[in-house]
Formats: sequence, C-alpha cells, structure tokens
Amino acid sequence: MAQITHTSPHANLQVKDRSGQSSCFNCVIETHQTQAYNLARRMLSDWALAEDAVQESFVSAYRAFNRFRGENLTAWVLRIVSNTCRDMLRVRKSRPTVALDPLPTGDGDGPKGPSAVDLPSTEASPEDRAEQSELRAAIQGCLDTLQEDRRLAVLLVDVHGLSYEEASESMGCSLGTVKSRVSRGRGGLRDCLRLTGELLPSRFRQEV
Amino acid sequence: MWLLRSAHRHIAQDTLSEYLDGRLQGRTLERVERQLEECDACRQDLAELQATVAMMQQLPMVEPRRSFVMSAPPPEPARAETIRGRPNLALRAPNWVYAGAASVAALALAVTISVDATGGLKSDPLRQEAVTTAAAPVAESQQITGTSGPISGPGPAGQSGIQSAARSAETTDDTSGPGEEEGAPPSLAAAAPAAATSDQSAQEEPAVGGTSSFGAEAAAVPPATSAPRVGPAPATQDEQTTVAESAAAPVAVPAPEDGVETQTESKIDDTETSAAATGDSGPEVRESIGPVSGPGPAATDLYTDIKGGGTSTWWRLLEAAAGILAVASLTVLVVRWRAGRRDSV
Repeated sequence: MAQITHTSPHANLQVKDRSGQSSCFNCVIETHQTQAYNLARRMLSDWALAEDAVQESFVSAYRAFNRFRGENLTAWVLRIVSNTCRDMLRVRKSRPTVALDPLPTGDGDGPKGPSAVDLPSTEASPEDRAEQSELRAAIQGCLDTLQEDRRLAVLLVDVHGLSYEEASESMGCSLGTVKSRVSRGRGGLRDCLRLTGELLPSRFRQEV
Repeated sequence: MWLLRSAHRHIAQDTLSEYLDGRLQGRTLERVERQLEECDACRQDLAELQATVAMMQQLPMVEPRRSFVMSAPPPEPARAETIRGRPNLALRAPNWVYAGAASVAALALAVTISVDATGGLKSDPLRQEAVTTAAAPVAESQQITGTSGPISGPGPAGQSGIQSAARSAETTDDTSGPGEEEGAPPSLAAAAPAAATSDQSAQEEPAVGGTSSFGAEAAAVPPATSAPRVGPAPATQDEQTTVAESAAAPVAVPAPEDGVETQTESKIDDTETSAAATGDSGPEVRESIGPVSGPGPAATDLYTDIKGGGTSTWWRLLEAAAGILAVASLTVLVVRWRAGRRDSV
C-alpha cells in the first residue's frame, strides 16, 4: 500500500504486514470503510448492526494486520467484514428477530436515520427518489431471502465488483464454489424480483 | 453443461450466469449462443438475469454516518480473542496438530493399558500378585482404583481373579466360579467383577485366615460395586485390585492404593470404607486403612506403597494424561469441524 502521509489530526496508526512493510492503518480504514459499511449493511439488513460490524472488523483487521501477506487488501478487509457479519447473523438467528427500520415512504417526513433502504439520492426528484427507494427496498428484501453465503457472493461480485478470484479469497472458498453461489444468488434474486414486478420489461432500465 | 439440441430444455442457471460474466469459451459458448437463438424462454431468463445483475451493480454506495478511523490503537484483547478470518478458537494450531495429538495419546493409552493389564508394569512381584492393574477401560473414578487396596490374600486364587478381571471380561477366573463374570462387557466390568469379586471373597473366606469379616465385606461390596463407578475392595487384595481395575473404566488415575498391600484387616476396612463412600478418593481409603487395627506391616506396606508411588502410580498418571489429551484434542477437532460446517454453502 502506498505510503501516504496522513495529514489528519489522528494518528496514522502504523502497522506492519507479514513482510514487514509499514502501512498507515487509518488510511486503510478511510479507503475501505464505505465498502465495508455497505457490505455489512446489506448483509445484516440493519444499519446500526452494520456500524458495529464495521467497527469490530477494523479492530480485528488492525490486530491481524501482521498476518496480511500483501495481496489484495480490499479482498482481505472484506473477508474480515464477511466473517464478522456471518458471526452476527448466527447470533441473531438464535434471538427473536428485530423489526427492520420502516421503509421511508417519502422524503417529506424530515431527516430520518439511515434505514435498511439506501438513502435516497439528493439529486433526483421526489418521484424518482420514491421509485428508487422502492426499488432498493425490493432489492434489499430479496437479498434478505437469500442464503447467507449466496447473498455474500452476489454482493461481493455484483455490488462491490470483485472478481470471482477476489471473491473466493474473501469468502475463503474455492473458485467453483464462488461461481455456484453467485449463480444461485443471482437466480434467487431474479425469481424474487420477478414477484415484486421490478423485472417487468418497462422497469428494466434505471432511468425513467 | 450438457444442452439438448431441442429448445425444450432451458439453459442451466449456472451456465447463464457464466455467460453473463463472459466466462464461457469455445464450444460451450457456441452451444449457448445457438440455444439462445432458438429458445425464447432462455432469452427471457437471460434478460431477467441481466436486469437483476444490472440492478445490483447500480446500487449506490451509501456513506456511513460516521468515520471509523481510530484515534488510538485498540486495547489489547484480554485473552486470545477471536480474530475474524481465523477459526473461532483460541488455540490456533492447525488441525493436524490436534489430530496427531489425539492419535498419539490414544495409542499411548491403549499400549499402556494393555501392558498394564498383563501385569507388565509391575516391578514388584509382591505387588504384582496383589495389585495387578487389570484396568481394562480407563478408570474414571479415582476412588475406584484408590479404594482397591490390594491385600495379601490367597495368591493363586487372587492372582487369577485379578488377571481375569484385568482382561476385562475376557478370561474367566478358573479359581473361582464367579470369575466368569469377567466375560461381561467392559462397561459392566465394574459391576460384574465387583460382584464376582465379592463372591470370590465369600468363597475365599474360609481360605483366608481371619476372614470372618469377609462375609460382611462381600455383603458390603455388592451394593457398593453395583454402582458403576465404585470399586470397593474385595476381600482379597487381588479381588480388590480386580474390582478396582475393572471398575476403572476411563482414565486410570494413579491409585496408590493399588500398590498398597493391606492385610486382611486393612482390607476389611478398605472394603467398608470404599463401600461406604462411593466417591471416596484414594487418600481417604488410605486414611481409613491407616488407623485400621490391622497388623502393623499391613499399614506400613500401604504407606510405603503410597509414598513410593510405585510403578503403577506413574503409569496410571500416564494413562490419565493420555486419556485426557486424547479427549481434549478430539474436542478441539470436533468444535472446529462444526464451525467449518456452519460456513458451508
């Protein structure tokens, strides 16, 4: 990782990887926190839990950095986030489910905390925002119906743009398994979205 | 994927997915493209899959409410913490270490027990005929082995009795009829030999001097020995040992009492003590034996054995350690295996 001198008031938090190369860990955090947060949010379907997961993941990553071999850092970070989310999901399974944040019906209600649905874009019109919000709610809902491993595979490859090889690193499984999970995940999403009507030909395009 | 030439068979989901990602090549790619030309439903499937993937790719990255940058290094974990990406176990040695440890421990245990059973670990001939660690299954209760205070009783009879019990229900005691109970499964060896032993005690009563108390012992023994883990002392030291040994199914804990050669009187107290206290530890038995109004030599022998430890004690320690190591290693492996299964597809 490039040795970027950090000008922010906080410390660089120097860490050394397995080969002894120093890195600025806070730089790693800044580079990856958005991706980490989004992955956690869509895996857990809960933004508050996602924040906890990301916090915990970065602490783990800091402590484990001396084992990082200098390969794909994004895949490595997302691997840690994936494992954290999987553990949280396991814990949550053994507890009564908590209701998800209600989907925002519009933006006229004033600022609300982030919910499982993506925050609407500030650039679009209210109608667009509502439509996007509805679509994203549908996507998140369908994501929630997927098995965890398939959900993770689809998020890593299609949302976060990882290659199959990088995804197999993050998931700790073989390439064949990644392909299979991605395929099943996509198929499951498609079947679910069919039911919501989001896949009707008129809705295929994002812009109206 | 194998595709039918006719358009009746749709293209498999996995194939479509790889086609979307541009990962198909050669003849497979040709077949799929041909199939897509011919099959409307396949084209529909593909279109919907494409739309789904496109939606996912266009999902925006939402900025988190706060930054996760750390102002200071996180505190050190109090103990070996779970590190994401590693198995959820504080012990991070690879699996083969635990598998190897379990194998070695189990092997050591088996070897030790079998040598033990054949009396190969007794350096003291006198003790050998008396104690004879007949431990078939490892003794779980220390008390069992502890309470088995071998007594200098009828040599041959006791000896055979011991050995038969030692073989854990394999051989029958030719000396005494009840010896056959040895044929009982090892799990029952505790109760069976015990019962047999008590019978033996009863039979041997006349043979053993001053064995008037044996009857009482025999009576006391069955109730006690009927308990799966109790190995109360039989009349004779052999029997006591036998009972103790056979009753000692799990790890054989060092039983100083094994080496102890109590006399008849001591033995009596032993029996009563062990019978009375199911979970009595060796020391207790020893204690009881101490004040026993038995011949001085008997008590002395007992203490000598305890102090010296004797071969049997250390071997029992080894057996116990091997058994514990095997169980612990296997437990770690099982936990990891289950953790690994949770991550399966």
